[in-house]
Amino acid sequence: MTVVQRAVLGTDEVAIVCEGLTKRYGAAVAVDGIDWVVPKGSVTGLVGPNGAGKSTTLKMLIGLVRPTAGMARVLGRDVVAASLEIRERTGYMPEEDSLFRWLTAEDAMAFSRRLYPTWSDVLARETLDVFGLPIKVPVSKMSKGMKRQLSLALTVAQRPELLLLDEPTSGLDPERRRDFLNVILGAVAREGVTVVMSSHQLHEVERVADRVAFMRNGRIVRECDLDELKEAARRIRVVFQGQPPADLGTWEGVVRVETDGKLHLLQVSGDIDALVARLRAYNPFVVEVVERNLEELYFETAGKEGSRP
Amino acid sequence: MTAAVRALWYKEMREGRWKFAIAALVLIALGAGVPLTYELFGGVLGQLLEDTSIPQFLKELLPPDLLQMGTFLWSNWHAKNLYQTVVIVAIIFGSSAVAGEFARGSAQYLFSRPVSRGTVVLVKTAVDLIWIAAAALLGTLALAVTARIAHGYTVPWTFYAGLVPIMAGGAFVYGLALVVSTRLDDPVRAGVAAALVAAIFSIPSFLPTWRSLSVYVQMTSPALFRNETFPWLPVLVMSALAAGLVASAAAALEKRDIA
Repeated sequence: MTVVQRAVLGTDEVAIVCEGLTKRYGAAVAVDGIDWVVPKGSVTGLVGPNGAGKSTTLKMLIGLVRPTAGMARVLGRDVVAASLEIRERTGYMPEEDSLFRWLTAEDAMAFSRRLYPTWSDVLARETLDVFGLPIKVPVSKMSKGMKRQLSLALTVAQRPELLLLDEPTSGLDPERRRDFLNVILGAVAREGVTVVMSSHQLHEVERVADRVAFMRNGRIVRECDLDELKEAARRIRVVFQGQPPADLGTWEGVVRVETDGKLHLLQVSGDIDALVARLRAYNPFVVEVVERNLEELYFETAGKEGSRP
Repeated sequence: MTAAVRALWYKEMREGRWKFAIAALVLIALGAGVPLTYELFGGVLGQLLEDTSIPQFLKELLPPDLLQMGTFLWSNWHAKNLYQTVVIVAIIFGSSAVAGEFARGSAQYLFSRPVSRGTVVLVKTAVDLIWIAAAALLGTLALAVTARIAHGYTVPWTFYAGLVPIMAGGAFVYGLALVVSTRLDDPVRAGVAAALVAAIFSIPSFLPTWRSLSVYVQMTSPALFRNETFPWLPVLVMSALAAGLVASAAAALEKRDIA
């Protein structure tokens, strides 16, 4: 069953579906035939190195860039044939500051109010208040961080069904970054909006996302539920008092054993609690479950992909 | 007019106002200046006609009514300063229409809004042509007022009707510049390229048999002043060509990646 067929089966549950989505610029391949499904109501972190194709993918979804091959549907509509409707229902925040330089927050609200039938002045003002942004200062006199904040406030106040955020927190200090993520989470909680957020800030993705897609060389190399990923990536660190069980590597749930002196690092799958209990029976000096963060998983995924021919 | 078009309309009016102000000031200065040079011009021409060292056949090349106020104003305004300035202003407005969005970094924001690129191009064209027409009208009014004050001369209706072929030709040149503007990201390069293309279209002006096919000759509409015959056909042809160029620019922009 193809990605599209699966998506069609549950159209109401799918915000984005891509099949073989490709973008080439001459001989260079920016996005290389990605198959990808984003469930409605999810917050997906799109992570990967520079040049992985994250921005190009988002631009194809919002209609700024035309796919060379393949197809994509956003909110059930084709990205080429129904770009206008998609843009009306989707909030897009580009990576670069691209607001009109003469706009003040007040002007920007007036401009957006005419473009979006679902626009909310109240929400815009609330978000501007969170950031403490003045409404009479033109964009040309704003710092990069202020422009990002204004851009997010405008995007959220559209009350879109889908938010596409391209490196949204770049240029923000930690405090503003926290406020920024809270605004995004607020939109998710309040409106049930679907979010796709590309970012290099893996700890931020980890904080807000429930799904993650790893992108590299124009392809999505791994895409899954973040909790499941982290759970599947858990390890057990164990230091035995004497020799370890000879058949440790063949125990049920043990995928791989890495040994460094007396320290054994078990890569595991399945019921981790049962495995810990079985290890405790050997009365080891140390037995502990090691949680891994997204950054470690990212590098592990990148390493595997990098080793591919 | 939909709310989205009103939003774009406001944006374009706002962004074009300084270009309009400069164009209007230049045209007002030129328009007011032309009647003031009449006496100087008449004096020089009178001396030339009295100069016995100039062969008679050269003197006969000059139109017999050149020293008449109406002829002088028309030949120096519609047939010279106004159409030339409108062409330049049309190139400036047209070449920066789309390329300017890329140069200012606002293309991604603009083209990710729920408005078709065709609508963006149409609104830009409408607003820019209104600005150019307003500047041309203000210049012509300045000419009329100065001619009245300085010489007690009232310009005939043809001076105002002559703005229509001027603007039809201006729209054609604007369309040329707009097409270039959808292909280049730098408004200066787009302007230079558009000026070169516009210059190529001036070649028929120098060829007697092709002269009537020149857009610039048709902009000056000599028949309108001499015969009071409105040049419907040239105006319609230039307008149709301009519409075709704008449609072509919109189609090119629709296919373009905003990367």
